[in-house]
Amino acid sequence: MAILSKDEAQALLKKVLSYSTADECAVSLNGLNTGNIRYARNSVSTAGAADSVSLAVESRFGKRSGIATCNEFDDTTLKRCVQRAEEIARLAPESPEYMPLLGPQNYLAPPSAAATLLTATTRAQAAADSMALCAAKNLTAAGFLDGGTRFQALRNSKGLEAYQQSTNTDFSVTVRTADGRGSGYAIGDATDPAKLNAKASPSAPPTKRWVRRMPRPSSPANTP
Amino acid sequence: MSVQFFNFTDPDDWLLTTNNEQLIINHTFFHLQHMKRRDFVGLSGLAAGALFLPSLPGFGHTPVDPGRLLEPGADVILKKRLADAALNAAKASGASYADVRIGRYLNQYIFAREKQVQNIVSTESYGVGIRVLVNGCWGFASTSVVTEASLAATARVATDIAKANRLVMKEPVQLAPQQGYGEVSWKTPIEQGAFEVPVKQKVELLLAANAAALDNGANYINSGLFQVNEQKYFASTDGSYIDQDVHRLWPTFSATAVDTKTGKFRSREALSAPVGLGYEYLSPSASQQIAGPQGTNTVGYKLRYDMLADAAMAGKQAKAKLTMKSVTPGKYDLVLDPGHLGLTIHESVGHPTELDRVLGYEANFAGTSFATLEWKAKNLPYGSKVVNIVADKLQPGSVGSVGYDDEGVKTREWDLIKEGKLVNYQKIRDQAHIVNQKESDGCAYAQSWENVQFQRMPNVSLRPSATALSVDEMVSKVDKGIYIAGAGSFSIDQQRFNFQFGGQLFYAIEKGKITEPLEDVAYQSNTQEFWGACAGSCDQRDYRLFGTFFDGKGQPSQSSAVSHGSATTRFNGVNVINTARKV
Repeated sequence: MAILSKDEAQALLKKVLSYSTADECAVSLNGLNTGNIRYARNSVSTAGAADSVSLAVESRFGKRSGIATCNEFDDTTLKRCVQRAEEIARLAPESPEYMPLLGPQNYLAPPSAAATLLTATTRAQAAADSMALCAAKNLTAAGFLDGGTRFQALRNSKGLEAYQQSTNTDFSVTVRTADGRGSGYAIGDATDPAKLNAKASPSAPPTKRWVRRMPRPSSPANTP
Repeated sequence: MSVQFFNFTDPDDWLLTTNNEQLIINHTFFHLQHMKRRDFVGLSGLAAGALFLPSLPGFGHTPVDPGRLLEPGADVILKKRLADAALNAAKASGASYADVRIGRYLNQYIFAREKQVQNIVSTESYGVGIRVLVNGCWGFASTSVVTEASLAATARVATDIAKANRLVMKEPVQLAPQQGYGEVSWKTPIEQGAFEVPVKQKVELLLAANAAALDNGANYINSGLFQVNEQKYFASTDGSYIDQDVHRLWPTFSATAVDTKTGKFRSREALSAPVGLGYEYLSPSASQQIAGPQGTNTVGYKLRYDMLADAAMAGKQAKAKLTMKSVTPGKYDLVLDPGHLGLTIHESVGHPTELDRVLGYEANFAGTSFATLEWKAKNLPYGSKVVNIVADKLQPGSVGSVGYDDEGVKTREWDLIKEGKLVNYQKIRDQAHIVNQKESDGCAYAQSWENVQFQRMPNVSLRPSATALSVDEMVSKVDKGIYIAGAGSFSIDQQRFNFQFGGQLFYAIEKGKITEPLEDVAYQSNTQEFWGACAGSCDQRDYRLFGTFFDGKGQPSQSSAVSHGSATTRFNGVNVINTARKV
């Protein structure tokens, strides 16, 4: 369910728009299928997965606007969602920054959906690579890898239509010396998880530039 | 504005833009100020094309009619059947331990600015989180599809994750044993559920508070009422089936006065606290108020709050702040009210005694701690002999109060600092063995069904003095000092050592008397030096709770609610700086 195709998504959005009685209406679907792994002291602390789709409806009467969302997709829920957006719009104050919705647009279609997918195993492997590198240098790694596939689809009552899939992999790591007195931080991200090398991406742990030593007492005398 | 793709489903977006735990903990309006303007516009119901909701608890959840918040959730017979489906599937897939949390999270937020209602948001989120232990590794997965088949499938996703993590395992998870409690329940003792109060009545209260501040000198005011109900069903392979109904409430505001000639402006925030109470918190009661020192006209609120009186006082004080004397930097004896000291306790004692921070589990996000196991072994003083600090999840009216934590452990109280020495940390089932403890402290928490539970700060409180001492008696012995009420902006390093704290209201103390209000006060110290300068507290009569809904930790980041109790307390010879100085 989490990653709808362009046709599935637009068919659903078309149906939602058909329930609208507002002057203008914009609807969007966002879905994701992601997983994460977190490790510290050279072992995994938490790891999880998420899978969800949500619909947002923005209804407008003149310069008044209301938004409602839902994450169930039966006809009754979809109708109620549109009604709620319209109820909220009627109660809202007029926006002094009102701009009409855009009509049809030409969007680029970058090849953003990567072929390689993150799995529980590839996430664990990335964590293992990072930890092994640090352990070999008598350093301790605390890191977080989070990523997956997302899609976004838009449609509005002025004829705008858009769909895009994307993938992301975000990695961050803090590397500390054995005595806990020095640490370094690095982040890396990639659209294709195959391009994220957990061994290389947290770059050289910790270079002089990154190192922070144990804080010393400070006083107003040495504060500017 | 061009059409943009908003990352609607990522609740941590704005947190990632700040990536700073100090922002997460600070007050609500501090949050609103730090959000991108578009996000705030979305929050306030004036959105023009921005399909984005910020990361207040419950935002991003499905908006519902207010009436929906009063409808009962699934009954316990159904929840037990669902939970058993997940537990059985987990065991069949090789789990040696599993727990299931079926959660229904209800929130209502009301915001008003000056004479207008900004937004009324009611949200509901329902789903299930399943945590499993397979061959010594944890796995977690969650789903919003609450059927027996979906829960069984989600349990298998969790076991697959646990099995994949075997690759990285150095030491198997050691889970402290926990008895099953059978079928039990717990509910926050409230007199009136906040959702039962008509929205109109709550809106009228905020608008009346705004009017009181504006009539008394404020030029602007934002007010808000946060109402939270967590309906949590926990089941584990230990044989616990725990049904809990947790309620929290937080009325708050920030009033601002402006000198239009100079452009100078000053704000005063509400002296309320987030509480584990129902709407009864908003019924003023003389017995639940305590006057500040003579000459300050400040009021401390215990388990009842007078929002209108506080807003009126805030209007006067915000305006008066524009012309108050600016503090002369130097060393002062500080007399700190509980509504102020609670934040200093949170940052300088609450955080450094979280065992996961101590060990380095939070090194990549929230930070670490100077109070390592090696530091503790040196038996150095954390503070003076009068410093006794306890952790608990029991105090009535506190936001941390629950019957059982989110891994099925009955809540309790334990010592963190005894007569100035660090004696213990905060820990959960898989951490207890690290400090040779047989059982968990019962302080695991997850902000929602979709997040995994982990160690979170319980209430951390400074014990009041056992001998009678009023705040006036305390002030009478101070030769050169400053009385501070209310929490302000602050900064503290990642090891929770060097810090700086501001406040809301400041008064000079000279030769045992409050002489005049001051502005631009902040004190700088470090945790050991500051608590070492602690010269004692007032007694139980002055004891009050400070708190927050926004204690942030973990990746993905989670918010947790926590209270901090104390009585007014004196600290000798603390460095005070002038925050209006030109540098």
